[in-house]
Amino acid sequence: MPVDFLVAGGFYTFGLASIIGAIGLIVARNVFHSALFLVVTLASVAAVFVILGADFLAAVQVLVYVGAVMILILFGLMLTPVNLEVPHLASAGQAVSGVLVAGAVFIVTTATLVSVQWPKVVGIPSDAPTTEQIGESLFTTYALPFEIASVLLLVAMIGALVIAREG
Amino acid sequence: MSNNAWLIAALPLGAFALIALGARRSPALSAWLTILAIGLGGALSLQVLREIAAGARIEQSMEWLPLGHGLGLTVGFQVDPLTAIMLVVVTSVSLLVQIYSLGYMHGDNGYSRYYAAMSLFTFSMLGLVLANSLLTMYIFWELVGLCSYLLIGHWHERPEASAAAKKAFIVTRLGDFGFLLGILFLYWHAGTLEFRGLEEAAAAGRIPAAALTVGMLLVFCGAVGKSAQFPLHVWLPDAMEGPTPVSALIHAATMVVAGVYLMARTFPLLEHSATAMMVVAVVGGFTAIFAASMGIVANDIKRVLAYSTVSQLGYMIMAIGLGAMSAGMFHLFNHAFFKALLFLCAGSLIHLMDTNDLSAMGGLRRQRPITFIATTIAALSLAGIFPLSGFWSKDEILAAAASTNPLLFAAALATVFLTATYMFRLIFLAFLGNPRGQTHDHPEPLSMTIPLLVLIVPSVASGLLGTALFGNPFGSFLEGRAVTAEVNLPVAGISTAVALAGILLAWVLYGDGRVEASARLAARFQPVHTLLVNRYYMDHLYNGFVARIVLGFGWLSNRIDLSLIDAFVNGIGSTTISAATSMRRMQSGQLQAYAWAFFAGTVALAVVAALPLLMGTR
Amino acid sequence: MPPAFPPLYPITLQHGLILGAALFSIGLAGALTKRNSIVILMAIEVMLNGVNVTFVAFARQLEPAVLTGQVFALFIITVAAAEAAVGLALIIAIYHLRHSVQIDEANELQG
Repeated sequence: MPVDFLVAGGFYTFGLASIIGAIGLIVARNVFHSALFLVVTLASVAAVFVILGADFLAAVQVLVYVGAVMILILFGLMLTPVNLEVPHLASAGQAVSGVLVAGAVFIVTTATLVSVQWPKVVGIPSDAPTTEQIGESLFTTYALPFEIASVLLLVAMIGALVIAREG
Repeated sequence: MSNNAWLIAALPLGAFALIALGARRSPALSAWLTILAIGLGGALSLQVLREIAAGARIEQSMEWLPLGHGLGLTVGFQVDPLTAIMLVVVTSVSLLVQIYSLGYMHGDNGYSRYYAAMSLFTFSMLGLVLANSLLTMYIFWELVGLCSYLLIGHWHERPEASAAAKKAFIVTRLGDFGFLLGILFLYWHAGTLEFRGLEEAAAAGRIPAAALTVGMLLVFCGAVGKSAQFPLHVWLPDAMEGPTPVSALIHAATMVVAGVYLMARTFPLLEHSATAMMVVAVVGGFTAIFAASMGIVANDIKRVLAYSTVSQLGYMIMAIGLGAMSAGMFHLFNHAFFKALLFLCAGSLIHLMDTNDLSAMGGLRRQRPITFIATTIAALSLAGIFPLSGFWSKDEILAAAASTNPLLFAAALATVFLTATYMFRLIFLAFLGNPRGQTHDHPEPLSMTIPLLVLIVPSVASGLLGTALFGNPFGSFLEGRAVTAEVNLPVAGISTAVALAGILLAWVLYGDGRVEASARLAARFQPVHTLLVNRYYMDHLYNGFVARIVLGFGWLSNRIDLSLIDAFVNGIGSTTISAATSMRRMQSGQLQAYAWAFFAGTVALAVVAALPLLMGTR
Repeated sequence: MPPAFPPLYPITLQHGLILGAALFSIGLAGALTKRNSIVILMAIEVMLNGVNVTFVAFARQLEPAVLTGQVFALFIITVAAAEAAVGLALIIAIYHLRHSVQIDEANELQG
């Protein structure tokens, strides 16, 4: 079926792009390059969200991550000049062991989720717009977490201001 | 009033608390608080005495530590004739001594401290007297020991005083250990520590005879320590390093008789064990003559009196051991007054001369006529000359000894002789002849003279309470039934004659203050004199032998402690330290190392959890 | 049951989950090996994105009517934003103090 095919193609394209971005983030020597690779990853993940039927979330991903968080990170990079003579990776031992553990995590997780008999789909996957539904549940079922999240943002804002000023 | 007899003890405690909490800044206030508290206590004691005489008997106790199975520990107080008599003795002598101290201790740096300790002591002593169980008594027993320590060491800047305080405390503790064992032993067998319960258990034969003997002998150990009986008598002469009023109150009239009181209080138990009674009587009789012999050669006026006290305490203990409990208590009663008087007189002389040395005194009758008269009266009373108070109680004891144990009677008679000799040696050396030393020129403060005058009265007359002439009110009161006292005429005659002979000997040797007679006699009876002056080498024995064993044991314990116990404990410590030293390297402070460990641990856990699956059980 | 990879086509739940695990692991590798603390922060963002992908995949396959997973992902984005703000503030404060953002130099808590 063409739709499924498109879905699969999109998924592999953007999934691969996000992974490449993530690897590039690690490999890049220059921190600004790392930041650009991060943008690639975040944008690709937004595309994957669309493919997986989360259109609202994809918009949020673009707005919040690519728009806000990335700007914040770029400001942080500009405010903290980096000595480029220092190697960007940790000592060889640490790097190798870090990659090994990360690989082990990946293997364990993947082995788990491919061996688990996941329940059958309980509802038909729909590609209908989700914005209305999410908005509704945010103000009904998830009203309390929503409020708490707002308080958290306020606290984070004040905290960030205070910490950055006093440093 | 009797229902609230505990108030009598609480009053001095209140005084002590007030002094400790702030009144100590004003020495005069401290002194008067103490005197007021004890004066009130004395008035209450007299009232209690009246009520007891009218037939009242009080005992109140409350559960302290319930132990289950009907067992438990109680604290409480009781008032019976024995208690009432002791209350009166303690409060009256305390009051007089504390008034006397106003003058004697005047200007002392530790004036407030002195009165605080005196208040605490009086509280403890009254508590001891009021106690209705061995346990309660033991608590106060240790408290008076503490106060004794504090007061002997009042001039703690003098090394002799602090050494004497330590000695008194340690030696009496030795006896107290036996006492404690005895308490536990009796509790084991009787299941109660209240005197009434113990008496009932003993009377009903619920305590096996052998156990009763062992228990009472252990309890007697406490009395041996506190009442300075042989072989734990060594602390009392040294205790004379304390201020003289302290010696008068604590080391003559009250605290040292606690042992006698203890034996009198437990007399209903003691009665059931002939063996224990025998031991008590022999220890008392031996102590009496043993201490008197040392009194003959002592040159320190207070030490003479101290040996006399030990000797007289031996008398009382012997009387109780012979079954003449009321005679022993009667002697305690009389002795408290005339011995306190003697000590206060000695204090008067020391105040005048700034020395305790008899050979430096002499001819003091002209400067201190009242002291001279008071000392003579008290000495005659102590020697047992008719009709002074000492005569009556001593006669009762001698009569008891004469009728039961001729050997003890002989020892007691010899003691009478020695007592008369050393007392009049003291008087002749101190008051007669020509002055041999410098004296201060100041008159004696009134606060010191009045107690002397007051104490003369009971020294002369308190014995009349126990005479047949007046129907023996003392004995009847104590026993709670009409008891007639019979003057044993032959015994009385012999003892009076012996006492007069002793006085005569003292006159022949030392009359007119011939101090040089001492040296001549010492040369003549060299070995005996050496033995006596060195106090039968008892202190040498303790220091050289017992102390060496104790120190050796202490050294051994120290070695064991260091090389075994400490090594073990330190080993634990150093193992922990080295383990921590190697483990702390893991705390690199590197955030990424922690994160790495976290994820590595997660993976490890996941693998472990999945192992059964991987091993192919599914 | 032996591990069996799903076929490449069509896209199922497991594809999404594997992508999420891959992103998470790569982010983790970065967080464990990079020296610049801002880059570490970025790597952590990658990890969070991996988690979000997982949630979204679950939301699509298991509870398509309720969208619980998507709401959860939304909250994670919120928290991540807050975390980025506070984390960057901390890094800047550290930079003021030591003129360096090298994470291996911040080891005052060494035992």
